[in-house]
Amino acid sequence: MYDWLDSVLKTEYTPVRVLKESPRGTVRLIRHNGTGRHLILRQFTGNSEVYHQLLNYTCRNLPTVFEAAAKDGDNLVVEEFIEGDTLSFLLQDALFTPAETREIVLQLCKALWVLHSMAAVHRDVKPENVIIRGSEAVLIDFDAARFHKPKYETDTQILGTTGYAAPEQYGLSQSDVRTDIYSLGVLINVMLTGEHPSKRLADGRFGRVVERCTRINPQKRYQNILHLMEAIS
Amino acid sequence: MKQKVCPHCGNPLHESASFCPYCVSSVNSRSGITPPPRRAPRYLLPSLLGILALCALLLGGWLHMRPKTYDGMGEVIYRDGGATYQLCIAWADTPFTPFSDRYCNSELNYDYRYPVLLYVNHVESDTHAGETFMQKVDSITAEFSNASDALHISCTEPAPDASYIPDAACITFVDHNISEHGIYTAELTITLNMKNGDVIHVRQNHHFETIHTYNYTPQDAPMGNIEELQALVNQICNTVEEDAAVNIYLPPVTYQGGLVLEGRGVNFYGSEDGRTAFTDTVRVGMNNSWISSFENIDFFGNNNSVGISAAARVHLIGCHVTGWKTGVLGYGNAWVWMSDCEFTDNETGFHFNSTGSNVSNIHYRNNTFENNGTAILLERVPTDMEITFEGSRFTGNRTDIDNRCQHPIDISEAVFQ
Repeated sequence: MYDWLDSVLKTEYTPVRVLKESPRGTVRLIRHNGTGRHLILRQFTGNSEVYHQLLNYTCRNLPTVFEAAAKDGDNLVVEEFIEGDTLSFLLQDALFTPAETREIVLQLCKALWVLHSMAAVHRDVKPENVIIRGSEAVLIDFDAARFHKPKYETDTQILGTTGYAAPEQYGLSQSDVRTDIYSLGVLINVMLTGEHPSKRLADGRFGRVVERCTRINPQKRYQNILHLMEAIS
Repeated sequence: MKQKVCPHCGNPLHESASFCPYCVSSVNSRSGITPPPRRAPRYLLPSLLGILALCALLLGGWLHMRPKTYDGMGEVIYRDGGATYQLCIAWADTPFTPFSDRYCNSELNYDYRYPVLLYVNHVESDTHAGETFMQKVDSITAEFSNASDALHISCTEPAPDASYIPDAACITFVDHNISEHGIYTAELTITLNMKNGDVIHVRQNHHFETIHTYNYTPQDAPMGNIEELQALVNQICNTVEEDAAVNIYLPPVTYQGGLVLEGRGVNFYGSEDGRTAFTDTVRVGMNNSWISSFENIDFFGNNNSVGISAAARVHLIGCHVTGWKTGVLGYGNAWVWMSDCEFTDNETGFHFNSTGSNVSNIHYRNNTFENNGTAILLERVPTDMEITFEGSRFTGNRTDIDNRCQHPIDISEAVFQ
């Protein structure tokens, strides 16, 4: 599958530009030679399970993943190119009203709910990864996404790990859905105030929502995205 | 290659293709997915709780007719002599909560060791009953099964260790090393052979995923002065994936100027061809629970600032920290740990002022604190876990340990001169 897709992409598509490059891989904008339609091609190493899962679903607030193929740890993913401005671009000029914020955040909640219902965590919710397409907000870039392992705790439990090498690797904490809720809380605050909640908290009801989203102790945040949606509905 | 044909354009497709790259059309069936309109009404909660309670009663009835062999993933409920016991593999801070799956990210070809704790809890009283229960046990073993060839994993014989985790019935230490990149799972089974003939198996799945390691040496990247080093660190923070280990092997340079590490963990190793030193504050900002380690590096101050300011977890090994107002400061939620380090001529050698629940190592071994105003200031320390100072030496300090938060410490194996 990987070889077949790679081969067809080379003959049927033309690279337009590199959008992102990291040690893990590249993200390219490509153009279909026949129709001129633009798509996103991701080539990366590592876990692509999120993309494979999304092959079975459509959600207006997530880019459609057209194809995902893997071979020996290398991955090819073809997905919809979302045309629009990123939230970070729009925030350069103006803040959002509470009503606009509510509308956008509810749509992002829907996107995150899809991921969370697959036991995946986006882990990189930020204005750069939100594209406003007309009246729709689309959450993009699952490169940092991973599957939540519900019972993985942080490193409190490796207390006393003695001897041997590299204890720092135990320091990886497991993200869960509340990680995304935290990020969404920050994003709400930035949309309303332009600043991180630690510097200036949004006023009123949204401020209380942000405060709860961003509590240091994950157990004191909204426990799932539906609770957050209820709070801002 | 098996083929199917695109229903839109007729081009041949791979049998598992989800879309046709020739005409840019989906060829698989997709489900639209949206959140439910609202949560279940709260008035249903009592009913659900009632059903759960009924299930618990049924489960209790079933357990009453117990078989002679017990087997559970993460937990076994065992009745004996009119008492009910919960045998569970749990974390030290949540000893009544069983865990059936444990996850570790591991570097390739590194040796790791971690403890697995088996608790025996008396259900009726919600108390630990390991000591009493172990008197009913004839023998206890632990072994892994279903491990692949690339995952080298073993465990020690389970045994109580009152000096380490006193409430745990027994502890086995798991050693593992992974030789090929991949995702692996092995099943741990702790078996208790009871004196009355019953056999209890408590199992736990251990999942491992390898991560990449990136090494940077002076041959790979310029790091001859603080500006170059800061640029390298910034580049790493911006480009290297989060779930990777990063090691920077520093040259024998005395860096003039501060260094800031934000957003991820990086391990810094001092040169083996001479000493590597910093003369201004190294600031470690918050990150996602990563540990940054500093090994064999000198930190020389001028008595008016902080040598290492850590808002994230930091480990110091074999470092010299000299001449600072505060040699090492841990704050926020950071756990800061050190071994084989020398703290000399600081106003305060190590200032621990953190809260939180993360502990990475409680054994502050073989450190020397000499001629400091206050060698160690414990203002706030995360958790109430006792920290130890075995092999550490305190000499010539005005105050050796200012334990103003009265944190539990063990200085029985420290030397005060």
